Amino acid sequence: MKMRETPLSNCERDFIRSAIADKKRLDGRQPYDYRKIKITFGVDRGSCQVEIGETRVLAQVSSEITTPKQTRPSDGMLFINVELSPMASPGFEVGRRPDVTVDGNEVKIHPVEEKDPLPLSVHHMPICVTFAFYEQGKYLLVDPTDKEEKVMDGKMVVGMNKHREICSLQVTGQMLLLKDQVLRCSNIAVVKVTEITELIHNALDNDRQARGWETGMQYFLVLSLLIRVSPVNEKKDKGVGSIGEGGPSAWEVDNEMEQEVADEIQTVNKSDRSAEGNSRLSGNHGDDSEEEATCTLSKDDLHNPTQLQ
Amino acid sequence: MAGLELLSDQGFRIDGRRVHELRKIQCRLGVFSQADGSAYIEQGNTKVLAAIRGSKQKTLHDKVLVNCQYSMATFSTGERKRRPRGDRKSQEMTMHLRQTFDAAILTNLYPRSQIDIFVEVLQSDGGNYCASVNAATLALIDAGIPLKDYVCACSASFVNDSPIVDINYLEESSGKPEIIVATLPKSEQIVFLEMNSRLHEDNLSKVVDTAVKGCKDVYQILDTAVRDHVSQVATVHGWEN
Repeated sequence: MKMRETPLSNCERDFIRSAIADKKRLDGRQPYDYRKIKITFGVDRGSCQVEIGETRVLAQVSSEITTPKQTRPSDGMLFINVELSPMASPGFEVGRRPDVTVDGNEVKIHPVEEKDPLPLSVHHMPICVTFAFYEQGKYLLVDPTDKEEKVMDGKMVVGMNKHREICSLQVTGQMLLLKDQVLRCSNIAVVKVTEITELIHNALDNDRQARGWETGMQYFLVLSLLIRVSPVNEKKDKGVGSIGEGGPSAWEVDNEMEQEVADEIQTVNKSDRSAEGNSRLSGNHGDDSEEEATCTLSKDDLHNPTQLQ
Repeated sequence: MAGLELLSDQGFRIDGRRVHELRKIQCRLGVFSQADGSAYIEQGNTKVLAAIRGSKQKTLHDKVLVNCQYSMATFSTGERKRRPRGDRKSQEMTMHLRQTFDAAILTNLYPRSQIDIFVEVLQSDGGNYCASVNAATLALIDAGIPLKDYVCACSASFVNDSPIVDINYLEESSGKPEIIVATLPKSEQIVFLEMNSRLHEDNLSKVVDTAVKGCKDVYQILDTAVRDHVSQVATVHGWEN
């Protein structure tokens, strides 16, 4: 991870330090300002890209069924693999796991076509805020950039959720701090965390709307085109809604047809994906097969980033 | 861990301490003759050995390079440890120790030199970082290396709305918040601070205060130990008059 970076020249170092002493920053921000945050969700579930100024992080969540550890049979396992900086990732929220039904000894994992995948249960969303200290804690900057980090004495990272609970706190660097400085940072963090949480919620809501409509309609169209539609009466009849809510599948499908449908869905997804690629490059949906109906559903909302100043 | 009562109604903790009570600290300086400085500390059932070695090197021209090696004996934990050093936890600990002492040692006094700090945990019962810092401080003092002040470390937690100081292994693994602070006790400056698990922001101040108070208590004990050691050495060498 540690690659040899080009060191800052003494001249530049002095310039940044003196600017900070004058309460000015290279990018024109105030000392306590955050950089612009942009959240973009990917086409697949569980993928998210966050840009904070020039720092860009991609998060991808995936899940699989495995045997739990023998010592903790009721707990799952969570692996986090970080390459480069750890920034709170709303990717967890978009990530979904397949629904599972346990009936006696029989465990059934429902494929996405059968039941809508469920969101992971996340207790709270910790957001990290970084503080940089200069001149033995005399000056304090929120959300330092790369260059500012190179000349700082040390930094403090506070992870906090919107309930004002501190989830992690770390001070690094060779500097001496006073308790008041730590408390002041945690107070600033409260404000920043509230802002960012709201931003993430907005982004998630946008995503949910875009996605709910898209997937719901996609399956509705595909199924209504290809299958005899006859709702099962003994189960709760939910129609299209059941797809959105992860309820039981209300479609009666015989095996042959199911195979066909599965194939169709795959091809639909493929053409969808490739159309997606096209539209990204040229804005052109150049494919007029019957599944084209699914492609016309706009993904603009999905890629429409929410911004915070 | 739900059934475990960390703090009884009478205000006693699992090992019988009160909330503001440290574990028993015993320490010795100068335990090795080959190293430039060495110390041994026991904080309750946590036992740590530290040794210092100084040498010349050429990489830094304006200050001393502080180098650390933290390791845990394979017999130090309940289950046998596979690797005494080099695993992620040890590497992290090494980094934290180096950072702490880089800030506390007057590094500009020894340009083109290197100070190696070796820390070995012989028995682990929570508070490994704290015991390691305290042991390393004593060893540095034994080696005669100028420090800004003693570096004292102490941990704290927050159970049933009251902060508890110097937590042991059981309290550490209960899932309650753990805050680790290393300070320079006279100026109350914080050299190192780390916290994990959830703690409400309103309580942060209380818990940090408790930990800092713990550091000051540790300082008293370490200072007494250093003074005793120096007077003993003086007697042996006949320096008294």
